[in-house]
Amino acid sequence: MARVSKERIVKEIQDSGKNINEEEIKNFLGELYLEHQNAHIDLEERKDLVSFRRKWSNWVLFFVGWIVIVNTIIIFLLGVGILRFSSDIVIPYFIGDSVIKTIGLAFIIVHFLFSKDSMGGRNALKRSVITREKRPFLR
Amino acid sequence: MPTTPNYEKARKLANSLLKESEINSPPVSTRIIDIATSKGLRVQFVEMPKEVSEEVSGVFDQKSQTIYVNSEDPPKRQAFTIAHELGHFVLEHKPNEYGFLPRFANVVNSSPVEKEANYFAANLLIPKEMLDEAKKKFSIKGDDIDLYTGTLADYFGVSEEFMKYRIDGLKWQE
Repeated sequence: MARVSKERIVKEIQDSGKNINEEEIKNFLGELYLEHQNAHIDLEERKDLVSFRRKWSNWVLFFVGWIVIVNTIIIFLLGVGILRFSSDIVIPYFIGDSVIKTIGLAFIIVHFLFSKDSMGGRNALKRSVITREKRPFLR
Repeated sequence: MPTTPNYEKARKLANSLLKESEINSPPVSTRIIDIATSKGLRVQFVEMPKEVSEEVSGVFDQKSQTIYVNSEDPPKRQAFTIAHELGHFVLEHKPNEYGFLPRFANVVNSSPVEKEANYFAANLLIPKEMLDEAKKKFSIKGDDIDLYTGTLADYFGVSEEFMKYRIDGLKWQE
């Protein structure tokens, strides 16, 4: 770093007599407002995403609960002999159907509702990376 | 020169300045020139002398009560520069206790007066109450905040690094 005193810097600035203040203030305020507005939109989007995810999580939970209850009732009815199926294919079909539904729901939960990539909203993560690359200050 | 930074004083002064200026919501950075002006200071965006233009972000001249800001810096960095230099003024640091604000300043490893000015700037540009309010408003919980440092920095009009410094500082205090 150059060994220049504060006083010398001030003197050189004052001696230069250049006035770029008005234009610079306009740019300064303009850019800060614009970035604030964009960030506000990103954060609102993200909030909507969280609310959407919460709503779907509740539906998935309700659906899983429904599968478990129906399965339990059917198994109970089969066990006590109240329910009987004439065809042998019904029970394997029923078990297979439940397994596929469970895997499908697990896939939805892991990949869409709680994936790491979607936690912050795509825009939020993208903006973080862009900001870091563009503004390597205060390191 | 103080041997240890008085963070409490810096925080109180920043809060009272926000109250005086009737600022209740972000971004404070867009009002930072008005805040400095209200304290009788002038803010000048200037081309720094060539030999130091890559190294100096800002300098406060006590005689003319002017904060000179490097016009080549990004606006968020300029906002920090103004807040930091304003900090030296309101914290009544003597001119010989601090120099110019270097562009690549290390906000942690610096002298007590620089630490005080940095802490003042953090409390002025990102007040804890406003950060908590934003977290609540946008449903940002716990460690999720690390994912939003960049967006929150834009929202508050500060650099991402400075926002990270602020968030980490508050985590440490809690």
